Amino acid sequence: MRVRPPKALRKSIWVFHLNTGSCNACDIEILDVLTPFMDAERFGVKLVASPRHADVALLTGPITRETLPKVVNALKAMPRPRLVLAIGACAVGGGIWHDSYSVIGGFPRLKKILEENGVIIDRVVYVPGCPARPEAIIYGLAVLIGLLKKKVKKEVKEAGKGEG
Amino acid sequence: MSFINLALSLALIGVAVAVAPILDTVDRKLRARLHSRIGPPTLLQTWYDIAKLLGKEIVVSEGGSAVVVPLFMTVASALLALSALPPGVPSPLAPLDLLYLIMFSAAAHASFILVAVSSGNVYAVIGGFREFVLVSVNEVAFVLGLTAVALSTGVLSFSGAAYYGDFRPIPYIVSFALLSICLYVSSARIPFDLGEAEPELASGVLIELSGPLLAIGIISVLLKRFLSASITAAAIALPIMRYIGAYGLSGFSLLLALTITVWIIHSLIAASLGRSRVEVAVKTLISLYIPLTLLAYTLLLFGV
Ligand code: SF4
Repeated sequence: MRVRPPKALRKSIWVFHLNTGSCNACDIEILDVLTPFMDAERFGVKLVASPRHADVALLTGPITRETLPKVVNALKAMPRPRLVLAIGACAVGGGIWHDSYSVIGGFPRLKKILEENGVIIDRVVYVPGCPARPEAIIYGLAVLIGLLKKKVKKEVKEAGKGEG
Repeated sequence: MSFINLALSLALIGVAVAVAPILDTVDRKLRARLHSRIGPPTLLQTWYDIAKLLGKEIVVSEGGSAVVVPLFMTVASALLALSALPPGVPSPLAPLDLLYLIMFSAAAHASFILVAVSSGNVYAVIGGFREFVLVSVNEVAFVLGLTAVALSTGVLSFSGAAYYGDFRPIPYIVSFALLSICLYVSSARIPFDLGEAEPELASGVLIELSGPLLAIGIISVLLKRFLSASITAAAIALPIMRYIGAYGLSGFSLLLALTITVWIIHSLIAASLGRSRVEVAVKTLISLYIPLTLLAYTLLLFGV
């Protein structure tokens, strides 16, 4: 059963930075979000050092096989409601590494593995971009906690199907 | 215990619980100002954080359920220590109030170390040991400093000191310097936040706590901070109360105003300092405490 993020989360969002093997460019954009120029603290955002304290995991990278068990452990350690912001093309779907032997290829595949292990993610928002821009990350956070509505419809198009 | 005494002690406890999270937001706002940014949106931000945590799930790691007891002991000891502060009227506990204050403030620090040890996480245990090293050095200096402040007023009682005995300004200044350094250290701010040093210990003592338990953990840290600011404020208030005769409610208001001022000074000092290594912090403190203690007690002994 998924848990709805409570309203209290809209005023206080504690984020945990989880790098799953990214090239680090997305991570630098996350740091931009937290540094004085973007000042995410004005929205109640606070960076925490332990997943036990986190409301949202800021996940970057295509999830390499090496990091997979640690990533599962870190997400499992988060108390419910457990939210994930998948940041950057790599986290969204593997990016340029999507078919590489050493990665599992993006958060949707990780989500399946997590569910098989009984780790439920209550809400995910994907922030595309290579790297994702800091404004987009803040926007994604606002959508994730329910401050803003998603602008896109839920629609999946598979490659090779559809037109033509 | 007289009614007014009990009422003011309870009022101080109530104010501490309500105001400490607001003062924590003031801390964050001040730090943001120094960084030329806005910081938390309202002064209630830490309260919002606590309210959110109360609605979250509690995740307890294997063997970590014992953490609840020391957590509540930390909060209770900090509150009991606060009740011993002179709320503007002579405490009926005098001259034992000094002992009471020392006992419960030490209990608050000891229970916080127990939180670390019982949470079943290696980072928390490392944090707990760092806290233990720091507290062992600091508490000795705290006891000596507090006693010297009371002695420099002629009576071995903290709250009674405003009413009886001679006031000796020179030993008072030296012992106040010693006491105020100890209390800054026990407020666990940079560079003395060794137990929770975030970058290397990932929140140390608090690492395993989640949801409501973390909320209580945060409240206990803030109450210990409030206690440190209040004891410093009480030490400043004593001579002022003697000279301007601020007793009863006006004494209580003076104590509160000074507590808030001391908190803000503490947070400005923290914002301007960098983090140091654990052994450097302890060595620096020892090299400060020994000469200050010797000077304070020599001045007291020779009746300066
Ligand atoms: S999305 Fe691009 S910038 Fe971000 S981690 Fe992947 S390759 Fe690097």
